[in-house]
Amino acid sequence: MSDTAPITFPGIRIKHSVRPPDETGPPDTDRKDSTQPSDVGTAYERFVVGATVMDIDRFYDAAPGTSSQILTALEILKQAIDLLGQAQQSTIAIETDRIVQRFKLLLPKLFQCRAVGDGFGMIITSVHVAFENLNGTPATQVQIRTIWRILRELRNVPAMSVDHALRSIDEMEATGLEVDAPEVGTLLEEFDATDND
Amino acid sequence: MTDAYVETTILADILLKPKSSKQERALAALYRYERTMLPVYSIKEWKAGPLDYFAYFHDKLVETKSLQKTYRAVAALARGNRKDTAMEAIAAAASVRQSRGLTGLAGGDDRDQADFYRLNIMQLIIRSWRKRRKVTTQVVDELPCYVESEPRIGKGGYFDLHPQKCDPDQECCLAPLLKAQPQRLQALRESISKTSTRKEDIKRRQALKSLIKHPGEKVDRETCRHLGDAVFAFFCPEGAVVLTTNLRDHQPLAAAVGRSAEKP
Repeated sequence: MSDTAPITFPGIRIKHSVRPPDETGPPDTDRKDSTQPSDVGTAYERFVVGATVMDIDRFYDAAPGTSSQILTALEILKQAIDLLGQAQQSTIAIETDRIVQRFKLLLPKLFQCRAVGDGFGMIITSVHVAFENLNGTPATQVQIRTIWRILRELRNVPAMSVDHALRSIDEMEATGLEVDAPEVGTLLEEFDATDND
Repeated sequence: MTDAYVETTILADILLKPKSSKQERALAALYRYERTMLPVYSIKEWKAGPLDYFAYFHDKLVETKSLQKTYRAVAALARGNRKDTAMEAIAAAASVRQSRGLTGLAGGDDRDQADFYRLNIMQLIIRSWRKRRKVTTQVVDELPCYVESEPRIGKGGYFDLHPQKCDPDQECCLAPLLKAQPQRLQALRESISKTSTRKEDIKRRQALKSLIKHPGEKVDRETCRHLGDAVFAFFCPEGAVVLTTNLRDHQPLAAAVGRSAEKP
């Protein structure tokens, strides 16, 4: 058997990886599912370059009628990613912001899925805090694209490590988003031993 | 003055008080100087002090899974210089927090709120640690006897901030430099009021006295820790000021050795 032969699992559908030329731009409108693995950034994707990619939904396939936080998270993340994909394609600022508003409504539902892992919870809270800190100012296209990309990565690796999540949060911060909850510092200030004047 | 020797309080304001006026002032202050120098002693104090309090709050959230119980637990502590108004201040902050923002994500559920803050604080602790050496133009006065180890989540989800102290088996690496200038040590000691009843003043005077009177003795990590604010005045280079929010303690120490202290 060849060392390079694709790994197969009985009964599981394997998709061949498709690497679009440039995923730093808006999502490819021809792609049917914007939540499929893309070519950029993720360790997961780097790992599978030149190999085959298994659909994330197949990993967490559940019997009909059953549910789990991870399945719920994958489903809501798909909706969130689709919305941010639409937001990137819109050329009208008001429309973009309206779509983002709809996206923000999904965050509490995603937060309720935080048992998936602390990395997951950390990303969802950071996205929420980032929008709160914008105080209603519409996010820029770069910021939307970055969150969209991070959520796609999260959907591929929902049980993301804390370290991986922190790197993603750094990427959000690099676009000018403020990801730390301001009241955290205030809450603990009284316990600060630095004895400020 | 064109240079600033950055003290622990500034580091804490920049790294642990996101989007606050204190952070804004501290960052603006750094831009006033051509060169900003962060001694590793600041990092050591910051980790053992403010960062440790944040980790404690995080761990209490892990333990109680309740923001309300965490408030009560922390308020019940008679810690160091905690102010009497702490509980009121926290309650006020919590009220402000609940009236904006958070209700959209965690609602009013106590456990949800506890988790929201646990995740935020965990993120802040680790990310602030990673940023610590990027705050100033330079990091100076390395401490070979102190290991800068990143905070990590240990058993049961609690933070492990060890080591917070220097290696106990070796002499404080600052000792030879301190002992080489006894007059400077004496000046620092004389600047601390003999009648002060503050624990940190008493400990600092004792540590300075020990260095002056017994230069042959090994300087252990406790002596180094008790020197505290005196370390900044002692090592602040010529042409630099000690940049701190705590002028009350730093100004007399700095003046005693021909330096000055400024606040943001």
